[in-house]
Amino acid sequence: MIYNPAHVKKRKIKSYIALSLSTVAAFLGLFWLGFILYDVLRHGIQGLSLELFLEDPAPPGIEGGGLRNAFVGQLLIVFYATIIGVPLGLLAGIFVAEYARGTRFARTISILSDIMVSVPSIVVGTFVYAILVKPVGHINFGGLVAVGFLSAIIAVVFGWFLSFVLSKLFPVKSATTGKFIKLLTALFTTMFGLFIFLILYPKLVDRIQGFNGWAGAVSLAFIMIPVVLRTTEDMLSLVPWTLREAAFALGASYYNVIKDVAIRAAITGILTGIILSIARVAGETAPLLFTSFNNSYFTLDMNEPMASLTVTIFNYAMGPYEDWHTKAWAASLVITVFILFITIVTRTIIGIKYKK
Amino acid sequence: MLIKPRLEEIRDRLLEMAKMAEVAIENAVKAIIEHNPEPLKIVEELENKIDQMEVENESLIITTIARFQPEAKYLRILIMDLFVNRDLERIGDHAENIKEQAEHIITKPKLKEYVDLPMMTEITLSMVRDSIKALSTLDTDLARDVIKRDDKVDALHEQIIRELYTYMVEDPSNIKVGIRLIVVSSNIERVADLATNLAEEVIYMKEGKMLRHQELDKE
Amino acid sequence: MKEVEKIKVEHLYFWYAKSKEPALKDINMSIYENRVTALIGPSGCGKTTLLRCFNRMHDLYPGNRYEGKILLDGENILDKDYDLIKLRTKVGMVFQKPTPFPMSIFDNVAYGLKLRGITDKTELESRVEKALKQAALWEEVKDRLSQPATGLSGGQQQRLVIARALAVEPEVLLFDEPTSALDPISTAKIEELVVELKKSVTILIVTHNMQQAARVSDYTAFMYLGELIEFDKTDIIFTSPKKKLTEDYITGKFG
Repeated sequence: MIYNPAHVKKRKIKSYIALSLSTVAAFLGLFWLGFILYDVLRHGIQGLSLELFLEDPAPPGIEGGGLRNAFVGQLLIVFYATIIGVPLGLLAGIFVAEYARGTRFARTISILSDIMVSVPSIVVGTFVYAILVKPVGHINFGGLVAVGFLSAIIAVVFGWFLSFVLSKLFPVKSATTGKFIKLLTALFTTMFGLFIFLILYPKLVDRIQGFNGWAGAVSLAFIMIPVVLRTTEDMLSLVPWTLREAAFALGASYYNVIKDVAIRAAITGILTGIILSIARVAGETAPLLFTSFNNSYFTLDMNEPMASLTVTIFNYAMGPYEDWHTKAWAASLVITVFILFITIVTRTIIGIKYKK
Repeated sequence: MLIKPRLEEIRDRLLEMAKMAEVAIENAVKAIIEHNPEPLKIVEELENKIDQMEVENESLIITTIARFQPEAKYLRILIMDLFVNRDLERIGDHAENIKEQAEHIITKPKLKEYVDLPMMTEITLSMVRDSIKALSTLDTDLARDVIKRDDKVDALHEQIIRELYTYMVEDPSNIKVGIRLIVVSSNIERVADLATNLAEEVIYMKEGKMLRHQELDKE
Repeated sequence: MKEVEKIKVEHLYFWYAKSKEPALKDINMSIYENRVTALIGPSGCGKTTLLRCFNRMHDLYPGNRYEGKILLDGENILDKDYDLIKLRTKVGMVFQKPTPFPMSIFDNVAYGLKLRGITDKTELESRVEKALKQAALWEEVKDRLSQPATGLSGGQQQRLVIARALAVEPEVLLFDEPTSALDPISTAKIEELVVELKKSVTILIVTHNMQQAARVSDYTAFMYLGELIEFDKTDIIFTSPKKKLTEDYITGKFG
C-alpha cells in the first residue's frame, strides 16, 4: 500500500485553503449583489406611487408628476425591438445551425455574432445613429434604410407564401424542376420587393427624421439578434443529428424536420435565449441615448423621439433636483424587478423542462 | 425466446421418427411370429425414411446450436436431441437387421410356437414407446421405469438363447434357424438398450444428471 | 420455401465525400421478400454504409456518390429522378439509438402519416393503433398515448420507433444495430419482433452482435473492408461458411 500520511495531510490543507478562498469570493459577490438590491429597494420604495406610473413628468424643478412617458416608451421600444430582433435572430440561428451547418459561411456568422455580443452597446447606438438618425447630405438615409427594410420583410413574407402555394399546387416531381421553380420564385420575389419599395418610398421616407423611437428599437434589436442567433444555434446543435435522420427516413423534407423535430426538441432552450435577450436589452441605456433620445412628453408615435426608463434614470440621476433623484431610484427599482421577474420566469421554464 | 419454435420443430421430428422406428421393429418381428412375409414390406420403406430424417435432423440440430448458442437447459436438450436422433436411427438399423433374418427364417418351417420372443418384443416396444412418451413430456419418472424394464428384456434374451440351444443340441438341422433367431433376439435386446439410452437422455435433459453406466439404485 | 427477390444490388460502389477510396466495392446481392437479411462484419467494414444506401440516407450529405444499381421491385432507386419520399415510404428505417420525436406517443406514430397528408382523425387513430399493435407496444401505451414519448423506457422507445416506421406501411424495413443501446430483455423483445415482422415486411438488419444475426436472420452477408465476402443462408454461414475469412470472423479470430 502506498500511503504517506504527511502527504495526505498536505493535500487536505491545500483543499481547505482553496475551499475557504472560493467561499469568501462567493460571499463577497453575493454581498455586493444583496447590497445593491437592498439600496435600490430602500431608495426606490420611497418614490413608488401610483402617480409615477400614471402621470407625465412635471416641468423641471417642480415637484410631482410621474414617468408614464418613460414606462410606455420603454415598453414600446423593447416590444418593437423584440418584434424585429427575435425573428431575425431566430431565422439566422436556424440558417446557421441547419441549412448552412458545417459550412465556412456558417462558422463566420457564428464568430461574428460572438464578437457582436461582446461589442459595447454604445457602439451599436452610434452605428444606428449613423444610419437611421443622422442625415447624410440631402438624402434622408434613415428613411431609406427603414423603407428598404420594411419592403424586404414584406417581400420575404410574400415569397414564402408564394412558394407555399406553388408547392401545394404543383407538387415537385424531380430535382431539376424543383430548382427551376425555386429560382423563378426567388426572381419574382425580388421584383415584388423592389416594386413595394418604389411604392412605399415616396410615402414613408420623410416620416422618419432625426431622433426617433424606431432607431432605439432597431439598436436594441441589433443587440438581441446575435444573442438569439447564438442560443438558437447552440440549442439546435445540441439536438442529436440522428433525430433529424429519423425524420428524414420517414420521408420528411428539411423544412418539416426543422419545424417538427429540431425546433421542438430545442424549444425550451430557444425560448430561454429569447427571454434572456429581452431581459438583456431592457436594461440598456447607451444604445438609446442617441437613437430614441428622450422626450419629456408622452407619445406613442415611434417616429418621434421617445422617452425610456433607462435614459430617464440616467438624466434624472444626473439632474440637480432631489425629486428627480427619488424618481430615478423608483424607476431603477421597477426595471430591476422587471428584469428579475423575467429571469425567474426563464428559470422556471428551464426547471419544468428538466423535471420531465 | 426465438429458440423455442426451433426446439419444438426438432422435438416433433424426433417423435415422428420414433414412431416410425417403433412400427418398423413391430412389423419385422411380427413377420417372424406370424411366419408371414407381408409385414416386411413396410420395414424397408420406414428404414429409408428414418435414415433420411436422421441426416436432416442432425443438420437442423447443428444449425440450431450454431445459431442460438444455447446454454444450460437448451444446451442439454439440443445435445440430447442429437443423441436421441442417432439412437432412433440405430433402432431403425436393428429393424433392418431383424428384417434380413426374418426373410431367411420364414422360408424354413417354424421351429416352434414363439412364447418368449413376442413377450420380449412387447416389453422392448413398450420401452421404446414410453421413452418417447417421456421425451415428449420430459417425464423422468416414466423414464426411470423404462430403465428398470431393461433387466427383464436381458433375462428373456438369456432365456431364449438357452431354449434355442437345447433345440439345436437335439437336432442339428435346427441350427440354421436357431442361430438366426438368436441374432433376432440380440437385435431386440439392443433395441431395449437403445430405449434405455433414450430414457437416460430424457433424464439428463430434464435434470442434468448423467445416469449412463450406473445402476439406477445408486442414484 | 419459395424465395422472391425484393431487392437486387448490382455492382454497387459508394464513395463518401472527399474520399478517393470507395467505401463499398462492387457489392452484388439479392434480398428476398419476407426474409430477414443480416449484414455482419467488423467495425468499418461498410455494413451500415450499405444499409444507408437502401433508403439513400447518404443523400443528406453533399458529395457522397453512388455507382451501380439497387433495384427495388425492378426499379433503380439510385436513379437521380427516383422520388425520395416514395423511396422512404417503401423503405423504413430504425436507428441504433431510439429516436422518439419530442412529441406525444400518438403524434410520434402519426408523424409519417401526417407527412403523407392523412388528416382524418379516425383514420389516424386506427392506423396508429394498428402500428403500435404490430410493434407489440399497444398494451403498454394505450392509456397514455398523449404523454411525451421521451417518458418511455429505452426498449419501449425503440418499439415506438418501429411502430412509427410501420405506420406508413413500408415494404422494406432497415434496422441499424437496433439493440446496441438496449438491455438483454429489451433486446430479446426486439429480436422476436423482427422475426414476427418478417411476415409482412422484408427486413435488413445491421448488427455488431453476431449471435443476433444468427438468431434472427434467414440470410447473412459478411462484409469486410467494403467488400461483400460471403452471402448465403444463415444456416450455412454459421455452420459451414465457404470462405476462410468468414469462418475466421465467426469463430472470433478477428474483428
